[in-house]
Amino acid sequence: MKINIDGLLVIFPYEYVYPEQYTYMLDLKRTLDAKGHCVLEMPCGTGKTVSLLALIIAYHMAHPHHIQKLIYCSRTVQEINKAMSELKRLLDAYKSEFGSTPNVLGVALSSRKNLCIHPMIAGNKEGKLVDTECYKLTASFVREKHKADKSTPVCQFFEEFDVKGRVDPLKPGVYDMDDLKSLGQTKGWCPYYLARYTLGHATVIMYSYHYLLDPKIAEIVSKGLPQQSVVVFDEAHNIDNVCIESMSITIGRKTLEKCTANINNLQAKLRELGEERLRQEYQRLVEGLRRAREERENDIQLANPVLPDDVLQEALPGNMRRGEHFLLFMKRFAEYLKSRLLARHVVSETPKYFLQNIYSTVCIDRKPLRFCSERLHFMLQTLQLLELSDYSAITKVANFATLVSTYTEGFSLIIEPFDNRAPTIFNPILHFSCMDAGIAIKPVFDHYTSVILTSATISPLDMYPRLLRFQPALLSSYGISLARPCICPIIVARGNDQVSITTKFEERGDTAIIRNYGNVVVELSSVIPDGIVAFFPSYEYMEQTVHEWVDQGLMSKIQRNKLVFVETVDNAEMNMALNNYRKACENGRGALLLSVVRGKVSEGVDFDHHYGRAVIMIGIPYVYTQSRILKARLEFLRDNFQIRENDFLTFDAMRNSAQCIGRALRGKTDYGIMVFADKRYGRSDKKGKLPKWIQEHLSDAVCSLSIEESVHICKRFLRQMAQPFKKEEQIGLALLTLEQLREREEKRLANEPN
Amino acid sequence: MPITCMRIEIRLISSSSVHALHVHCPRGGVFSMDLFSCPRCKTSSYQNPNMKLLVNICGHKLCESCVESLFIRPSGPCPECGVALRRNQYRQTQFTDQYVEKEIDIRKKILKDYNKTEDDFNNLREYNDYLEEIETIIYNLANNIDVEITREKIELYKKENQSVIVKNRQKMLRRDQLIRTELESERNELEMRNQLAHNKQLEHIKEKAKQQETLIQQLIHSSRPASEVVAEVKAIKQEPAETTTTILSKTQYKQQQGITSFDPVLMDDTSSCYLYHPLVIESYGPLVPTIEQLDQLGYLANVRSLDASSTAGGFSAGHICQRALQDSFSCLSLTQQQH
Repeated sequence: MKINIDGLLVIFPYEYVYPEQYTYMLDLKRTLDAKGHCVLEMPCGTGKTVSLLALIIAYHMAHPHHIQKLIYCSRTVQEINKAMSELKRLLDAYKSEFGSTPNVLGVALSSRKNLCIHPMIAGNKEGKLVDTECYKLTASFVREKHKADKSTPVCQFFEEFDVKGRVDPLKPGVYDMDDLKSLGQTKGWCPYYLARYTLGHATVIMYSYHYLLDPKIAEIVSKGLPQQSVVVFDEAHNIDNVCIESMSITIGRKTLEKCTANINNLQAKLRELGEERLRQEYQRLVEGLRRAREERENDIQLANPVLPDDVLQEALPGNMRRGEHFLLFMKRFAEYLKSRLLARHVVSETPKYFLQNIYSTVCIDRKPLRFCSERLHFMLQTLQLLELSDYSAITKVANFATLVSTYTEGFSLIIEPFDNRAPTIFNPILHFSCMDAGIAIKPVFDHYTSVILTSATISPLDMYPRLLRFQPALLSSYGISLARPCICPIIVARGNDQVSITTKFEERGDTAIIRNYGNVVVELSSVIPDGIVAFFPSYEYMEQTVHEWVDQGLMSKIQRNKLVFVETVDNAEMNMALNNYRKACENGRGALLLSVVRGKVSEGVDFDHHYGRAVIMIGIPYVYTQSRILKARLEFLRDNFQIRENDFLTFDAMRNSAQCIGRALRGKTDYGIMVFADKRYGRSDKKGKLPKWIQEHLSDAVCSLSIEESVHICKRFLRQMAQPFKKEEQIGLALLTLEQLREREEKRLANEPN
Repeated sequence: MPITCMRIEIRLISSSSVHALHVHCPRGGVFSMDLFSCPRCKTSSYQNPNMKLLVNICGHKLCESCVESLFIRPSGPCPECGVALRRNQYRQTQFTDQYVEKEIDIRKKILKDYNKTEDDFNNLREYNDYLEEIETIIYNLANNIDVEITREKIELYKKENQSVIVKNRQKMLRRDQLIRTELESERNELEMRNQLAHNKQLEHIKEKAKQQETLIQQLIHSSRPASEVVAEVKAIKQEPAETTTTILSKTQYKQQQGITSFDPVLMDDTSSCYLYHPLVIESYGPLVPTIEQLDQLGYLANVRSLDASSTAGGFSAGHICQRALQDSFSCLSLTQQQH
């Protein structure tokens, strides 16, 4: 269907449009017109992705110079694939509308692990292994060797691509990962490098966050994308954590030991190497870094984390020009770190202080430290080492050196001698943690015209611009228009014995509370059919509670109603549990999945329809507040952004619970019960931080219920939902045809004063 | 030796902690960081947790008791390399690696003399060459390559650059102090800010408790309907809450404390020396003759001679005459346009 959005013709690939999709597109158009950034929240399952794509593609068609590219970032491969199929559908709609395929090229990029088709390498489970194997076959010096001596193995797919791939670019269309692979098979081209090459002229790029946010990768992959691009971060509710993680480094004793081993190894290699090659390298380094770097796309595996350009133009400091000098420099640095790690108490200091200290103890200046990672990169290239993954420890240490000397603000150094989980075992770890999420994402906001952050649960909206330090053109949250009330959020605050339930730290160990939590699950599982997911604030608490439930005999009561599955840290085990959970839901036995907030289930897995009829949040999932890193970050937020500690903690807890609760509803035909089992959810400061579309349905009548009352409400809700529901009932309310849309629009215009 | 082995065995069996396994893992690198032992008497830090390892300029380690017994006299040879050492040069070890320990000693010594900064050179290239030279010297000394030649080189350098060395040393000292005070003040500030925030938090909690109390009191004693009382108290609550939520940012904090800036201003030593340029005054008139010329030109003849008391101030007749001439000459040729 064709929609007129504020004067822009948008082809929408579906027959009907949701009212919130329409307003979403209107707001999006406004943002693009203003060339600004925005934060948009729209409920899950209301077609966020398709409205995004439809509007931005239409905008691109209308103003190709204004917006040249759409960069769509998501978290997982599955989500990227989903978005890709939406894009395909959209372009099909264009085709049937205009009769010809539009000139749009969409391409998905993922790691080598997902794209490699080399028979020997593909199928390797570990991403790093694939990368090194690939490097072994495609490094420029290997290929040079191959030219001289044909017996040196190279990757025929890459060779083929190198010869022909660049001459003949991909035809307009949509290429997801499978398409790229099959194309690669038929043409004999390497799909990974094909995709990387295609980024330059593709209209729509879909890849994971890291290709844009992690400075180490962004430098290689996303450099040179035009400024006139729209960047979309989907599922952006955790984006500040992604930013912080991409800039933070932790170094333990093992890393340092390995680093020392690496240095010794490199020293030996250096001695073996001929004088000639060393002299060449030396000569190049004297000249300057940038010119010395031979830009070959497949060679650059380790990029500097974040050196500003002017530093790269400068020549390398004289005291690390020679290989052996540099290695001794690294050795001194590593030894210094080791001596710091011997501390028996927690140390927390600023990078400035660290630099001063390192200068006075081992005479290491700030300037050469900045060049560390770049210099190491050179050395590895000169030595023509193949097993790059062996040198990950020294790379990490060098990256740390560069980061610590580049940023004096917004970072802090914490040395913890003991792990939180095992406070008696001496296991020191140095955390160099980024406090300011704005640092990693700043280049993105600065470089691209529009950046759109969107998610189903990105409340409270005003927090994100503060955390990420940008000026939004628009902040908006949309309600959900429903033909029938298909979500049922309730807050259970008391047990049947009137004991209020909470996971407050002081009270969580109370037997009465644990019993009441058990009763919540028992009672609800007896009335709710199919799948139920329960989220605990932490693994530790889950273990403790489940243990108690078994002792009190509640577990056997639950097992009478449902099969019980438990989330574990192990990935394979988790997948098996999930599969069996699905099976149990499908065959009608019904299942209960006990999982943990911030775990795998809470982020990537959907529980639509009968897979998740109810989600139970047991307690408010506050983070572990005694962590030093968290404390430092809270302090930073307080001093620089005027965000109070409690505000941030509540914000973080609420966004995580909203994310978990959101798992229940994945579309408008779906329905689900959302149980918040903690009395604290009833308070206005907590309730106010939930997404708008949940708040709308959280009337005073369903706050602060006892277990009995909540069971009663659930029963009524389920009976209502079980009535047959046809599409026709939705039309006009939750689904709009073109005519209805027009009518609404006219009404809106008539209501507006001018 | 056998005793040591047995002890470790016993501990391995008795302790189920992961750590114990780690320590005794033969290939794991953890061992070297956790346990250290004296190369001479083979005592390890496991047997004697209070053991201190000392190191001298040659980089070889000895435990405290071995040093005591070997160096009864103030000097003696190193048991490993035979270099003559003094007892008071033994100090606590800092690093696990002997080479690094030794190199840092040498480096500190060398850098005392080789302390030129980038500003002492014409361009970056020369500075980098200089840095490399230092590095080579240290490398040679630490690895015993051409020690004699290098020593001579250092001596020569010292002689040639004596003044620069002294100057730079002072400069370094000053800079060091500046940085130190800066860090100190930063830390103090942080502490105070934390304290402030903490106090605010406490106040906030107290305030809340008080409000709760008043609400209950009012509900007990008031004759009005409960909903009215609650609404009233809520309205009051909103206002003070607003004021307590503001936490001071860095700059606000400074302003409140009346500190404009205590940070030491880093001195810019790099600018060139001050050059005197004689003052040129445009007087728009004929040139006033200098004091020496006054007599020749006969001006002084028209000035009364000064008595002793007048010259006591240091002025001569010439000065007065010159001033008078300056007054009368200036602006004689000033036209309207120039004005």
